[in-house]
Amino acid sequence: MIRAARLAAFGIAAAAAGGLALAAPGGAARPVCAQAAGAHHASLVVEHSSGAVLTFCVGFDTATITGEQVMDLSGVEWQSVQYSFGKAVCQIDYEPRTYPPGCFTSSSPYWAMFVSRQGHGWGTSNLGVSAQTFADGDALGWHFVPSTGGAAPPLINACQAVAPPAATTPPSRPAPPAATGVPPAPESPAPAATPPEESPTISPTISPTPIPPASGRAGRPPPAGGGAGAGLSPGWVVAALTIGALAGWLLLQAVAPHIRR
Amino acid sequence: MRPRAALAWSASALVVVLATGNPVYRVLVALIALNLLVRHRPADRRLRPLLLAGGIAGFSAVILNLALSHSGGHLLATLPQPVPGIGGAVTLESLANGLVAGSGLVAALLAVAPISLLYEPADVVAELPRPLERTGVAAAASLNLVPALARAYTSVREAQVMRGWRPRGPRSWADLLVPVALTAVEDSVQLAEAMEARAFGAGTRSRLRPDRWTPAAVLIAVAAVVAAAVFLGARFFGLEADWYPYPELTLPPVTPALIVASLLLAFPALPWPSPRSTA
Repeated sequence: MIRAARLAAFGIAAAAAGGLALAAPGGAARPVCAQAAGAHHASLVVEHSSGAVLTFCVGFDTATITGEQVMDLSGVEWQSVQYSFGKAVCQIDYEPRTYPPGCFTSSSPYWAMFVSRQGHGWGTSNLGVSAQTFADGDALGWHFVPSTGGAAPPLINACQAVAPPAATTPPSRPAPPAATGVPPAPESPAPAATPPEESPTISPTISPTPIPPASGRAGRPPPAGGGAGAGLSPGWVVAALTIGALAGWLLLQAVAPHIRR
Repeated sequence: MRPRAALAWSASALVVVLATGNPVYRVLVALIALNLLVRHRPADRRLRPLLLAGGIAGFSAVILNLALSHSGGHLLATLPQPVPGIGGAVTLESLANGLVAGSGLVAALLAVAPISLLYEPADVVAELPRPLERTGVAAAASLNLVPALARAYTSVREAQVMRGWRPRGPRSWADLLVPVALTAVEDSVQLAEAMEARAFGAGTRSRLRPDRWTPAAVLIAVAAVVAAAVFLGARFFGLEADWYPYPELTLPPVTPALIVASLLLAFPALPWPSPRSTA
């Protein structure tokens, strides 16, 4: 079951969350996304482990775009690891802060991927994020769930829910971790490498819409601590002093017998 | 330090190393273990083979990570791709991940080193719980036969060579393996007879100097177990999450409380008034 859930993170259909039919705010009506330029629009819903939800509306001119393009056009921060069968999504909006080289382990939480067609309920995908395609009115959903699996994110029509002024308002992008301030990783997916005949118009309406979780906890993941730019934390000062004392004591024990001679 | 206190210490230190992915705590445990070994090491035991083994294990972990893990944001070099999996980006993050894995290997090795370096096998086997006693003795006796087997192989090979034997393919090796196997069986029978003559399996056991729980041994064992429990609890309740250098290298978070918990392992490394007799 865990393995099957893992496959869902790759977008390969196997997880058992397919029947989660959360009604869209607008029912099955076609979304109206006046905030994003482009002939067609797709929604992106990201639910953090804290319960906070971010929504994005992406506009495009081609008939369909891939999930990878949806992620890129939305502007949300995301990291992936390339596997032979596609990309595994390791980090979205800086959650989790760090991850193992293989993206996740058998016991770690992971980003579960869901797909909604034309405002209908979430289902799992039988394709990876880089291969799955989205047409006008579709939605891509992510939920950071435990290794045992979890429910789909709330089904929100981001292109309908955004207030009109958001069209010209710069989106409030999630702040990168304060740790390094270095440029993104190279495997950060670039926009579509081989676009179809016509390039999709990059006109996303990035409208993060934090929805307070039931528990009332903050939606943002904790900022990175202890980074080079953040200065040494008290823990690091204590650790440095302790390691120095132990190393000094070790040196003293090793050298003292030779001095006595 | 008493053998049973050392057993509790090693088991707890190993739990601490395995319960955290944070290299800071692993380095702390390794340094504490080194201090302990240097302080209690008998004069005839050398630390160099142990340090060499730890160095090789750590170095191998670094090389493997550099060669096989190509994720990370800071590119150091790019290997050509003639061999699948090996070629690709060599990153600062994969180097850091190798160092973290290596620190775990070295710390785990040093955590269990006191058992083998500071005590005779008989002392350690005698401290096993009663249900494990016979199994422990059997395992220890079996392991003890391994070097004897190597010595027998060397002797038989030299004797055969003196008789004009030369290796001529797989079939000729039977001239060595058959006498070595017969010698091993004979050694085993002799060992079994010797153990039976010493009342092995009679249900009672006696020791010339039975190991007892002294106050210092209790302090060492309890402090070590508390340290292990703190790390397990921190992991269970999500206070100490695994740290990885991906996607970009950052300093791992350090909690002062866990530093203090790590230092609970340092009791046997402290200058006790007379450590070998009281602890």
